[in-house]
Amino acid sequence: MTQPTAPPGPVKPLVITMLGTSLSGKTTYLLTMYGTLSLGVGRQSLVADPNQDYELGENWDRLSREGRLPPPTADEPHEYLFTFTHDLAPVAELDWTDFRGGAMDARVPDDDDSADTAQLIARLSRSDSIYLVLDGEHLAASPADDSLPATMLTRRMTSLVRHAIRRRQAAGQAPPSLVALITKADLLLQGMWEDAQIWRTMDATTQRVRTLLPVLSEAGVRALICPVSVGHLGDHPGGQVNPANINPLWPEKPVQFSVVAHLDAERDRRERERAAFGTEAGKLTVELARTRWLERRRRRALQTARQQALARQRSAEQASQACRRWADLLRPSLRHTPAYFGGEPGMGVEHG
Amino acid sequence: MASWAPLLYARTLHDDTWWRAAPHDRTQDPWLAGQVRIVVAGGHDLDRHSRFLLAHDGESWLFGVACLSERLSSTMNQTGGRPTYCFVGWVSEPQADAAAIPPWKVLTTRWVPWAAGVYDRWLAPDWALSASDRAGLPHLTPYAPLAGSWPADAGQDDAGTGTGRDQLTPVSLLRHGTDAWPMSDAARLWAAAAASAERITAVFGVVRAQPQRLRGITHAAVLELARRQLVPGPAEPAGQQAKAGDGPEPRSRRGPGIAQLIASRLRGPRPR
Repeated sequence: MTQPTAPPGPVKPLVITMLGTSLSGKTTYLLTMYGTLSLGVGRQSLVADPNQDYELGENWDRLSREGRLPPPTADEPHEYLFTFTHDLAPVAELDWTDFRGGAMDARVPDDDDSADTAQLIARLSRSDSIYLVLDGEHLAASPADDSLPATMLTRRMTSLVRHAIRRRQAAGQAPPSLVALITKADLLLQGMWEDAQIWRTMDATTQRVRTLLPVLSEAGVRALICPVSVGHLGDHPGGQVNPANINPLWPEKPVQFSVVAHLDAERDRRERERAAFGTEAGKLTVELARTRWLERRRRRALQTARQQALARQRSAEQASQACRRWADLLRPSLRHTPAYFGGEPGMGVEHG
Repeated sequence: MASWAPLLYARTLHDDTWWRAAPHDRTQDPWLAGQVRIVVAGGHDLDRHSRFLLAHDGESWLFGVACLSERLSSTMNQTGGRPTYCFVGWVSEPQADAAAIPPWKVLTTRWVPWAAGVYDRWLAPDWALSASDRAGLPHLTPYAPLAGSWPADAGQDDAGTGTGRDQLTPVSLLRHGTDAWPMSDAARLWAAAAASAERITAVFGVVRAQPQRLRGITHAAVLELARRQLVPGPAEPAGQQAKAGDGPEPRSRRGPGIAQLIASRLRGPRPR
């Protein structure tokens, strides 16, 4: 397949923000995702600035070689910039910030300890993709859903995401894509050996998550429900696990989904742009036809404006086509993961 | 005599907030918060070595230690199976006399019981509370002469290893880099820092002289460093140009094998 070229013009970085309770696995997921994708999955990889690569790589090495889980995140958010590549070609810039879990569950602005809460909430409205991190340990331990919203703060997550969607809509922007990230997924399937039983559990978990987070099914929302795991870690006294058990499952899928959803949203935006410039060029053509030959100065101005509109229309069209080709190239990576568009199975992804 | 107040930065079992105790006039002090975050550095490498801080903002002093909580308490030291970490320190009122700061040898031999006292005093009442029970944080700590909180010989220097006669590289010449000393010279650096009139952030016990690990630090005593050197500050992330090498071959995840793949990753070892 021919590799698409980068869309012309500046491409907005893909802003990703994770929401989740304390100790739900946000930082461990980030490390595992970076450790896996910086090495490469298939033809895709993640590239970071050398200093950030050193920091994340060192933490990943400590986890994967020494079995040392990362310490709890303090109240200083960590910011990262990544480039998602396919066959070395840059597809999207990722702007990623890791907040402590407590940042989600504080008031703004009068809590003394909530400076990062204000940052988090401001950032949500700028986020193109939001990861709602659900601790698989809680899902596995609570067959009844009564206590889960309080334990996992899913009501708070829903409220914050809806707030962000409203603010984005007010600014004429599409809703962010959403990933329900089920961490520690190994705990959900403990003791299961039959394929049918595994699939039943996975399907049941997907339905529970959709109930817990109804925002995943709202109109215009692209959503993915993705179980991830670092490995079968078991108990980890003192933050120490057996490194032989580190065997990640699907850490790359959420990122692949976010990139595809971003490309789809960017394609839609460029399509609207193309249509708008086309309409503008059409109006200018009509106006030009109505303008008398003697009004030379006005005709020149109209001709210039029309040419500019047509050039922008072409540029938007090229960008839209590039986004479409990239998304189509990456979409097969999401096979077998439950992705939804407006609550219906979608994104061109084969389920199950 | 200038007074000092204790600080505690630590999380509890259930509540993911960190500022537990600070003097009433500095609960929103960005310099203080910044210094603590620099030395704590997200808890990185604290399982390898505790880090000590001596900082001066031109008026007041701050010193203390960032460490794993298990060094200070046998019970309040883990959450969710992961070790917690903390910073315990003392901040002075403006124009404090640096002579009250304990010398390096005294600090490093006696810090555990001293810091444990502050840790227990200000954390124990909150340790098991839930986030919804949290109120009135941070606790407000009183100023008092340091002598009452520190061993009687704390003001005496330790036998010529740190006389304050060593010269620090002036901050203006560092250009966001770090004047890094070997850990074996930590006592000399501590004494020199305590004699400084500049705005400094001196951290002791950094494992490696790596720019990313020295961010915000003006002077450091580094464990894996043989000779004093100036370490440039970390470069800001530039344009993210893709330069990755080829990744491994695509992993096949199609068809009926998918359940087995999930199973192999999620179920753990098959019982015998």
